[in-house]
Amino acid sequence: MAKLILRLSIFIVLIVTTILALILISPPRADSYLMAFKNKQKLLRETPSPRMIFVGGSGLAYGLDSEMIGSHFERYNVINTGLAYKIGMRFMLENVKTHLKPGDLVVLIPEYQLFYEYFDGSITLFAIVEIEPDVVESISFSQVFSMLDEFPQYFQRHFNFLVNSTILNKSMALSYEKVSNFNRYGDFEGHLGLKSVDITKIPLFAPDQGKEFDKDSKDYLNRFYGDIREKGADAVLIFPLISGFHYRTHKEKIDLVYDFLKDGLNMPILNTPQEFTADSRLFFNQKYHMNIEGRKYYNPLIINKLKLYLSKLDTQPATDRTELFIEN
Amino acid sequence: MLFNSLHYLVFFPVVVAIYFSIPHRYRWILLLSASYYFYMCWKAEYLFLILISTAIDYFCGLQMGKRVKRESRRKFLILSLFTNLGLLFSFKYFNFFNDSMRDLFNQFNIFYNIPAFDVLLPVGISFYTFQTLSYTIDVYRGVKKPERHPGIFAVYVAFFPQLVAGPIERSVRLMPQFYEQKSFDYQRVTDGLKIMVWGFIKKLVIADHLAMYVNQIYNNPGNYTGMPLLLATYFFAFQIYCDFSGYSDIAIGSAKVMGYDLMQNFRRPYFSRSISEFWKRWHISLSSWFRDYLYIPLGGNRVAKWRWYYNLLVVFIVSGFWHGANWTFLFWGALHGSYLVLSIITAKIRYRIVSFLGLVNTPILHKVIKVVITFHLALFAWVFFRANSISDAFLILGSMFRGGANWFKPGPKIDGFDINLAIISILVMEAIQLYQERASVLEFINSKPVLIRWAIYYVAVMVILLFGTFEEVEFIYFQF
Repeated sequence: MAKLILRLSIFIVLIVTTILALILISPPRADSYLMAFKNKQKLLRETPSPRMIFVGGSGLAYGLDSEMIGSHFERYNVINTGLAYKIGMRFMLENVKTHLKPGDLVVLIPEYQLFYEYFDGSITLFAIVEIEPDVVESISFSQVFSMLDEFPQYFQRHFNFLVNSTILNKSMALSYEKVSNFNRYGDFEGHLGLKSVDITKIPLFAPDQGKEFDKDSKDYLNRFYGDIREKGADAVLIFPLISGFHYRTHKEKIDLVYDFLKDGLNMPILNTPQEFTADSRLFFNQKYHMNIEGRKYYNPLIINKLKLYLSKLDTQPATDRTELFIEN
Repeated sequence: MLFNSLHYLVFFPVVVAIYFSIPHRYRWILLLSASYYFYMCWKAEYLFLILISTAIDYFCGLQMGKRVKRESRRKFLILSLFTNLGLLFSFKYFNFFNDSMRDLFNQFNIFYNIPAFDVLLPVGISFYTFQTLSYTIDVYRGVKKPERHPGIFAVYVAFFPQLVAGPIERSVRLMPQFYEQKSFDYQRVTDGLKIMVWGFIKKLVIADHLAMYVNQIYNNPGNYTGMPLLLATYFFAFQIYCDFSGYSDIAIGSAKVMGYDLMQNFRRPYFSRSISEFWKRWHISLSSWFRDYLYIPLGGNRVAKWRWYYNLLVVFIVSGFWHGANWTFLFWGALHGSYLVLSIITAKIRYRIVSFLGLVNTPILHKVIKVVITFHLALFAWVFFRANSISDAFLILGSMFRGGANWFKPGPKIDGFDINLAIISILVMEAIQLYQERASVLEFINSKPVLIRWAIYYVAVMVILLFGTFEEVEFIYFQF
């Protein structure tokens, strides 16, 4: 048996070395979309408080107009941390939590997938760790386990990238998805003015999504909320803008999220999913990505909800924050 | 637990390490615990079905062993059949019959209100039911002495490598192996690992990759005409082969690592020269089960011709039904039964045609033609097997050769699917299988110097890592 273990160990080392070598010789492109994470981390570290920190996936990156929001809330410096929902909600919030200071307001605008399979994240988290290795501290053991499960896919992406960039001389990324297309607040602007596609052909939940509702998400959100309240910060939840078509076709899964959260979530929820629906022509190329008109429609909705919340907060400071829950 | 999961990658080495570290007398306890854990990872509650089958068949076996006369043993055989087939019927077929009855009654505007049995199909129920039934039938026939050790019997029913998708083992082959003291054998363990790696290549690199294309087309058959439908059908033939034979290889390899020999389940079926040969090479453990426990008791071929044809049709229709409670499987089984009946009826005519064409003088060409025809007969039947309904199957067959100038219009673009990779992987696999027709690949590898052997292992593992699909796609035969 010792002979087998020795030989297997040598063989495993050989394979692992090959994998690591392949990963090392194909580092993330300096101008890739995900490289924006580095800049967003810098914003979290350096922007003075109080800050209004938006947390979510690419729906926020593509949809938020931080300048417009900042002009309505002059007290706050706005930061948009939205990048990709596949990073996972747990990581997004854990990462933000390490940077929070008294007076900060976290505005969580989570894609619905974040309450299903993507609560703990996916292989995209590997790429984030590769870009900013320090953030590994914000990753829990359960995430590490689910990440290990997806490691082969991550490795395959590296291999494909290497083959495409060196042998086939082909870029795998969309030409406009570059880090240089993010503005100083963290909003992505590379798509503004580009032609939109018919997003009704793309389901809100892909066939492999929306199957396993994550019942731990509420407990986690409550723990997160308790922790940041202790730090003197605050947080609210806003459901993201989706097309009316997607709302109708995936109503059951969306309502499940809302019904689950509204009963027992300590963090105030400022809208209902149905309120934040819009014409599908306001979207760019994906279910949560807004085009230029979509942004114009979306941001005032967010501003109104936040104004209402902050005015209530100013006039009637509540001991039980859920009293501020606003249901229309 | 799936073989193609990280969970199994941890579970299996742990079980093997403990297995070889403990004395022989305790190993059945380990195997039984590991097997039950393996099954409970899917749905713990359904373990009770395995426990019921195990308890009833253990009891029936012992009771039959106490009785000399067949007549006095019969009631225990009936009890075993009734329990096992009753469970199988309740969980697998009840809703099918219920829905069919409802449709029939609705045709005549008759009120029918028996509710559906809203449960999940227990994974592997058809496999372990047939395995345990073979034991009671063998004891009834006097072929096998009843097993007195309840633990060994329970391991036989639930042995994890073959619990959920076979091979369906016979008690006379597998049970004595649990009594044999297995010591660690380096060659045997590494041979087992090599078989497992080959199984993983078939499943992760070929089957799951082809599944992306096949599922897209077969789940939306109305959206396509021409080449995509034909291509998806060819791809499905290789998908199902690689999926199921890949599972069997992983099962056989896993058992071999621990010192157990499971029966061969596939012998390169697409090289068959006739449909009857196909069934001697495809899912061998099931086809031999039907041969021994249904076809021969019905009279086999030692009866009048019409009765022989009837026997063949019955066996294949039942075999189709074994696969699933759907008209598509029944049709698939009936089609294969019909092929066999027609092959018997047309044997003389075909011989005359072959003689007339002079093919008897060119045996290689004759063989190739027979292989190609047999493959396409099986391919035609696969359309019914894979289609979601009979009407879908006919829609696919009807649209496959339509499309005119658009016939060559490429199929859908699917994320992660690479048609070149799909075709190359099939060709490489078939080339390896062609070699296997003449010699053993395992012996070929073992005869090479260490550097070449390691290079082969390295390439094999890297192929899995680089080109495998790692989304834990269930094995097709799990649903049966």
